[in-house]
Amino acid sequence: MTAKILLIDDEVDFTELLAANLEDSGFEVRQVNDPVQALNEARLFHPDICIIDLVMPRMDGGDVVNALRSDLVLSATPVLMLTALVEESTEEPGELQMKGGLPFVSKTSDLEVIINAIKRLLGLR
Amino acid sequence: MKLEIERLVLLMAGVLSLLLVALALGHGMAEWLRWACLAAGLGLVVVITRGAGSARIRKLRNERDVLERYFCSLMDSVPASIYFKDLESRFLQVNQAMAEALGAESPEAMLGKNDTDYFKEEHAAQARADELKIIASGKGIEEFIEKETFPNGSVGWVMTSKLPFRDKEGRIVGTFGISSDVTEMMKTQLTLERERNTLRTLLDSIPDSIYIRDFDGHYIVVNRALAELVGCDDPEQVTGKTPFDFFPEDRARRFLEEDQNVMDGGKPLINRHSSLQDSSGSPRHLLTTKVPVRDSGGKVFGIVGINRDVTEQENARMELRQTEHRMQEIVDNSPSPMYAKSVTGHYLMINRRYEELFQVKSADVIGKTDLEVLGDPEVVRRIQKNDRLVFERGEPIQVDETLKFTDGERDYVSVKFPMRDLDGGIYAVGGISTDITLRKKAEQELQALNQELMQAHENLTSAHEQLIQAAKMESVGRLAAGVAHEVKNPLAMISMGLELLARHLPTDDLKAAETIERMKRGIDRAKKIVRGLVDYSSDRRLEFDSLDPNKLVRGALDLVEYELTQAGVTVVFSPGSDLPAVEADQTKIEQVLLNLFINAMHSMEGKGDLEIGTALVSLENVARDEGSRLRERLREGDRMVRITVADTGRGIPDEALGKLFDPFFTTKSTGKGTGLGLTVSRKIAELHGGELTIANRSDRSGAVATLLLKVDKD
Repeated sequence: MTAKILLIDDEVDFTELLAANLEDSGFEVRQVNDPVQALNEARLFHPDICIIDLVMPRMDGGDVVNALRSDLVLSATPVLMLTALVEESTEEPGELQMKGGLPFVSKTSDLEVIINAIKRLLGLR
Repeated sequence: MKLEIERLVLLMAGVLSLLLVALALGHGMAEWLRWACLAAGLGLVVVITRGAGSARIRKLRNERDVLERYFCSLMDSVPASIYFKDLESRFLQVNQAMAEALGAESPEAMLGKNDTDYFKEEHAAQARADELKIIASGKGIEEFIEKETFPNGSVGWVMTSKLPFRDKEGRIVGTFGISSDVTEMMKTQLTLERERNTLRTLLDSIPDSIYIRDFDGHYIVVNRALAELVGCDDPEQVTGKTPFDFFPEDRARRFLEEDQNVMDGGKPLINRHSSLQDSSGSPRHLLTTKVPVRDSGGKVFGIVGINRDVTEQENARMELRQTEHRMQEIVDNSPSPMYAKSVTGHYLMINRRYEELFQVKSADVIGKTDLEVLGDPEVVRRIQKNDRLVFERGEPIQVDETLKFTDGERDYVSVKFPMRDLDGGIYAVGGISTDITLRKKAEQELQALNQELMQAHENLTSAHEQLIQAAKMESVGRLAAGVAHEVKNPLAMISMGLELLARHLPTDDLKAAETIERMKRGIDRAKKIVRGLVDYSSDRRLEFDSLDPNKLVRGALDLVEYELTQAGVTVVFSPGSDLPAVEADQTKIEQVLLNLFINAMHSMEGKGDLEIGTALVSLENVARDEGSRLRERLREGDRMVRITVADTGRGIPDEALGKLFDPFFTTKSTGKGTGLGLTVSRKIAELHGGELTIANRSDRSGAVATLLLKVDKD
């Protein structure tokens, strides 16, 4: 079964590239570049995990998480916060940075780190 | 009796002859008788007359004999030449002296001859002319003195009187004369005259006024200088006058009173100084000497006075005194003690300051030696050594001298110089000592003040630098947060792109694969810098724990041990014993230590010793250059743990020392460092209330980083 990832980030170039990489790694990826559209897309797509950028115009990552959590179906969907604001983890791979109860990974982390984080959250490892 | 009888007989014969004559003249007698009587009477008269005549003749002859004797003895013995000449100027009578004077054989030989036989033509002619004049006029020429060349060739003087020679009837029958040789007298007189002239000239040439005043104050002798002094051209104008004619009355009276005293006492007055105004009104200074003068009988008849005009000398003396006085005033008012000592070390002079300083009197010091004046043999030895140096070198020297006084020591800088007489010979050493105690003290104070100022300036500069640094940091901090986010997004994008590209490249395209790797390394670098900026700007709260400093160091060492070993660095850790725990965020301090280790490793370029030490220090033991920033936050006596990280590397170039903690400053080659390691490290140290400083080792054999951390008080 192919895991479905919903990418929510206003940076189109980044999401395109990340999506391409994730797809190469065997994930099914859908991108949302307008956070306002994120909830609708999630409802339509039924992702296994949402990767959400923290800093976005009109609606930031936190608001998106809150919106998802408020949806009965989506509230259980794991989220991974992807942001440039956090530092890359110096900790052992596999350990997730937690901030405010949410797992974070730095945008500048290596793809491998990001995929590991996704896999952990999906319980695939 | 015989004469009386003879006279009686003559008387009787006379009477008889008279009678007979009377008879003869009578008429009563025979003619013959009358003739006879007459004859008898006349005969008697003749007898009487003859008798009487012979008596007279005898008497006359007697008298003539006497006269002739007188005359002859006069003629023969008078040293003067005497002659009688007739109207033709022929010699009638000549005395012995004349004959001798004229070189004649005898007086008799000269009779009938004349002057031409004995004198030169012109003399003889002159004599003849004189004699004719006398004969004609009947007047003599008395006592004229004429020069004469004697037959023996000598020239002399004769004094001659020529007079008319008269017969019984008073008729002029010739001339006579008397000549004396007055050569000696004339010589004496000429000598006297010459002497007198000499004396006069001398007198008049002497610049001193010389005069002789008689008992009544009249000038008897006066020289030219005195005449000029009283305003006369000629000394003659002064003689016979008195001081009252030339000087004010009271002054003239004083002069005469003085004369009187000299005359009364018979004692001279020597060099009495007086000043008066000369005829032109200029002041003159005189030295007056008055000596009583005596006549040949030894009786005082006046005084001889000599006024030496010493106006010039006096003026010069006054000028000299004035100059001396002026010099003395300068010397006495100098705040520096001055002195002059002879070659034998005896004081010649000291000034007032010297008197005050050593509490002595000039009069007591002059002629004394240093030992007598100063007492201390050690001080005297030093002083004399310097004095000798001046004599030996013959030029001024400058020496520092310290003298002890009851109120303490004083420092002097003394100039000692040789004093030379007009011939250039050194006769004394002079000294001027300037008290530099205050100056020295002031200098020291100034130096201390200067040092303080320099320190203050240094502190100020340091504070200024810190402010700049702080401002820099603050702006960097603000900037960093923004930049980090904005840079990280595109970085992430590139990173993602590269991942994708890498997988989609043909596997045999090695060049492309290598390019991808290079790009990834570039991204890694950019990420590191961003990471550093974020670290620096992070306001993340530190998580303090109570940590063992030695363990902290060991933990950090473990993280880089492999790298260090690979780089050939030998780690020498000297842990301090019984160190208290420090209050620190382990991760952050480890980050700092790692930074220091890596820097040290880089600086050693692959080989060397990394010396790490820990110790407990209290703030007063912290050297200045370690602590200036520290002092603002910490008090003296605070206990700190010091961690030192020393390397044996290149050390830090001087110009880099001040910039080590600046953001983006790096001495490493591009790519090796971010330029933020130390900036962040210091920030971390400061967030711990500690300090991070870096300096070169004192022997320049490498650099030493010192991290101070607060001791955990709990």
